[in-house]
Amino acid sequence: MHKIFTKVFSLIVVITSLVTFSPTNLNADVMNPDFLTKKCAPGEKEVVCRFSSVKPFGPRTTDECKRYKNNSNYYYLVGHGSSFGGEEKYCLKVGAQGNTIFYNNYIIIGGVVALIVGISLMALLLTRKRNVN
Amino acid sequence: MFPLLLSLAIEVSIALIFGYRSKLVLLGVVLVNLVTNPLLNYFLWLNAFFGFFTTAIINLVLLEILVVLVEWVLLTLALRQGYKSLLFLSAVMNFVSFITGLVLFK
Repeated sequence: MHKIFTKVFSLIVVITSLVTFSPTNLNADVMNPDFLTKKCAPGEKEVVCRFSSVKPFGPRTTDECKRYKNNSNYYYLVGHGSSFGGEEKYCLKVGAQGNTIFYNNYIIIGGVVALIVGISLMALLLTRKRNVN
Repeated sequence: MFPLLLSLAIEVSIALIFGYRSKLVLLGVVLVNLVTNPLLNYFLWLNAFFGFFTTAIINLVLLEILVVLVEWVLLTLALRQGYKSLLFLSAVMNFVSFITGLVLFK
């Protein structure tokens, strides 16, 4: 009885040591169920981005999510991943555009683009006329 | 501004390589680019903010195909030359411009 306990105990110690001190990297590949179910509010645009790391739990080497994280018009919804990377979902706030300088700028820039396009089209028409003559 | 200048330089060079030496044709290439390039870049800029679609390569290729078709129609209307040769010219000009853009702005 005593010997069996000793063997079982030794086996547990060996397995635990192997797992604990194993040089292989552990992947926490358990999918976060919220990642599949959570959605942005109606009318909000949902974006999914990926990030990865060369070292387990190390700094992100590629990060598509950075631009959304740094943009106040987006908010973080949910994420999942392993030790080497993962995915995150962000939502674009409804009407967020109206509160930014961009809102005013994109109309002005759009106007400039429309002007350039219009002038170019007129010049193309003149080229066509000149080509006939 | 830089993408437009780069695109103009590449497309005019391609037109010259293809033997289009007439000033009117080269002017046509420049003007057609002044129509499509600002529109495309403005659309991509808006997309980066509003997220209409992902900037996956397939979406960019589809946009580029649309640009080829628009440039072809405009060139055909303005220059009144063989539409087949202008379609080929438009496709090659935009393909080279697209690949250069991908390499430079990756």
